[in-house]
Amino acid sequence: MQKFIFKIGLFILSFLLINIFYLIIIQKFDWNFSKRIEALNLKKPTYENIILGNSLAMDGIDSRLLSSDPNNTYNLALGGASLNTNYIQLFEYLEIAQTKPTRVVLGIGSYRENIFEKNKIHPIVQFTKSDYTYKLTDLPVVKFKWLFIELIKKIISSEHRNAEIVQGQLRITRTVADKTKKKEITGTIPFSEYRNSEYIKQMAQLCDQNNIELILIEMPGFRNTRNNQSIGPYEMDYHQSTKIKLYNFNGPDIDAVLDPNNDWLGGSHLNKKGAEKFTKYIKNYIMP
Amino acid sequence: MLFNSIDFAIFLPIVFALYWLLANKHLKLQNALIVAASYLFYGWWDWRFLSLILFSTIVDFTIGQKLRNEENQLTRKALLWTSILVNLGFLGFFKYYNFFLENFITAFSFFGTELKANSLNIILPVGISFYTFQTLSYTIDVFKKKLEPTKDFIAFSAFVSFFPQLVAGPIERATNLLPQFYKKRIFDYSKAVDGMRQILWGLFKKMVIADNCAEFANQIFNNSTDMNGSTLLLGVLFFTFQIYGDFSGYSDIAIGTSRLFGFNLMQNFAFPYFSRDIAEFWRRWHISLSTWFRDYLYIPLGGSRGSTRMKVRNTFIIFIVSGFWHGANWTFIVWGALNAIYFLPLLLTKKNRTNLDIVAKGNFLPSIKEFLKMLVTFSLTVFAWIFFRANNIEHALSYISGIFSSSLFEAPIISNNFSFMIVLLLLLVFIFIEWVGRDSKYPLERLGFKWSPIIRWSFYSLLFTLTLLLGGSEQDFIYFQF
Repeated sequence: MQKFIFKIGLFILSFLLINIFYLIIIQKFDWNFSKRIEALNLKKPTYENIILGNSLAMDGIDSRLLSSDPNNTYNLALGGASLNTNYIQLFEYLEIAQTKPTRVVLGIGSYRENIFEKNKIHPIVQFTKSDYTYKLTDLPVVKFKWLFIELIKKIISSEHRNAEIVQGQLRITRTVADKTKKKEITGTIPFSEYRNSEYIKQMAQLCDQNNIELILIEMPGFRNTRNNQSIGPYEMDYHQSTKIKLYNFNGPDIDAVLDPNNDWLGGSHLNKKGAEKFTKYIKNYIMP
Repeated sequence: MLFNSIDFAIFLPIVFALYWLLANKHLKLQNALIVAASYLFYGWWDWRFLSLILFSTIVDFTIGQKLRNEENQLTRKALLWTSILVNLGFLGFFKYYNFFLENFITAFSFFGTELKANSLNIILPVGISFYTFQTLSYTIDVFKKKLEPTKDFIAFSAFVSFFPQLVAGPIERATNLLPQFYKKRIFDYSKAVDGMRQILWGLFKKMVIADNCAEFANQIFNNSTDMNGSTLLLGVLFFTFQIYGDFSGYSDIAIGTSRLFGFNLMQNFAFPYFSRDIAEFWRRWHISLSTWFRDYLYIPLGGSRGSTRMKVRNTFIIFIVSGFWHGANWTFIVWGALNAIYFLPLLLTKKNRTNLDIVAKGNFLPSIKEFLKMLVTFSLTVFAWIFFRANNIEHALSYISGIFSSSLFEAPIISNNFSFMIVLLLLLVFIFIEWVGRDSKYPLERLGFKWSPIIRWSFYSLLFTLTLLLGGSEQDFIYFQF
């Protein structure tokens, strides 16, 4: 019995060591993780523009091209981040910022299922929050198991390996053509879901308190996700002192900007070239 | 409580520690702890269903006691039928009530009679088909005087509710499992380590193979009308490995967990996809259910003796009943009948017992003939799984016609190519390990025995880590619904 317990103890110990090793590896090599660590370690930042959202915004908005000064923007968007996570990220950023940003751009792909309902906090953000209490389920190989596949991608694909994070934006050169076709009856923007989103309301409130302009943008997706509405802007009322503008960059106009064969890296995500084009395009609309 | 859940990861060490550190001095204490742990394990789903197990236990224990001193054949038969009716009555009500009701209404509507009856919103108690058959084996064996009825209610309760195999088998015979509750278990290091190894392999099968295949299989079966032939073929292949990884993985965890507590359960799967004919497949797939039906249904019906008509009748009965046992849906009945059709030519030509040993025994590779036989058997099995997985007969038929269309030769439509490639790679590794270990009870039983302990344990740690890292999104065990 003692021998058995001793061996099980060794097994558990080796498993814990593997967990620590895995955590070190993902902190160093995973984009989301290293980006999160970088954002937490920003020393009294003074960025004028902050970008929030999930992987669509993380890949698709080029921080260095959004404003006239290339160093004025930081992309905080995180792959798989929910709106709740974005709110937490904004709150954390404002606490450490030396000067509050002038504007916050929140990129949303509303065509994605349940995008407004997700209130789960992103595991990486949750794990690295200063007030988080760790549980048994937080073992890195359990909590961050999906990052393992991302690591394998990096090992076998030079395009993934050579991707870089620049001021928070993930730049991948890989190209996967958009072979989807536009639907005959295209959808509309779900305005009511925007209005009813608790976390957008909270972000609006936070921005209002800090005199920050919050801008909502519909991120572009593959052609089969397009809605049939114009760019706008549409005014959204969250009962703050100023109304918030929503720009639709997933309408018919975006077809003239993005090349379906060269600007995408798959799954409605823009590659480096696509992000450059898209950022230059939206800059004309959202920057005064 | 699912085996692949954090709840079970906490539950098992606690019960293990209590069992070997506190309860190891007394047999009664060991058995009582097993009953308490089993009731907690089962009540974790829904505590209300505990009353069903308790009632079934009391009924069969009492009938066993009565059969002990009863010599009158009529009374003995009446007692046996009481047990059968009570157990199958529960099963029939919870599992088949709505099915029969709907089919009666449909049948009467053919004659122009519109019947009105309300179907009931019945929740199927987890594992009812498994423990019902296990308790029935006790009463039948006591009736046949193959087994001495027990006087120990706690031991009997532990036999009925033994948590490792309570909800999805293996369906143990009273003659094998019950006597193990009469003897105090003494900790056996090699048995416990063997149990851990089998649990590890079971977790790999369930979490890595079954759960990853499930994601593709579900996506394809749920959107089958939008898929081309090659994608539909991939879908059923994924389901083929999903159901094997899921069910045999559960059995491995159950058998391994039992060994931790000093029990030996029967082998439930013996590498069925390496079978050379359907008869061999059924000797290797869900062995505890196949042998249950063989011993308690097929042989009493006459088995393979008698006229050709009787043989055909008995074969169809056993396969259709076996199919119906899986669920209240015509798809399962067709699946059973299809297997009967596969099996009959072998039975009638007396070739149903030609492949008794594992394929290519003593060789690394099979001969071309063996390989082709395996391929044909595997293809027949895959085809039958379409009915098993489909929502209804129409779905199955449209799925089949979708496969056998010109689009079979188009490229498959896969939404996540990278994950798809990873899953294919995992499947190849899995099949290779199963093939190498096909001569054992489970592949890890003897794998790495010549390695140094450090390398062997590092391998186990690595396999466990990979199981957690590569595991698909958590899915319920398929056989829980049966």
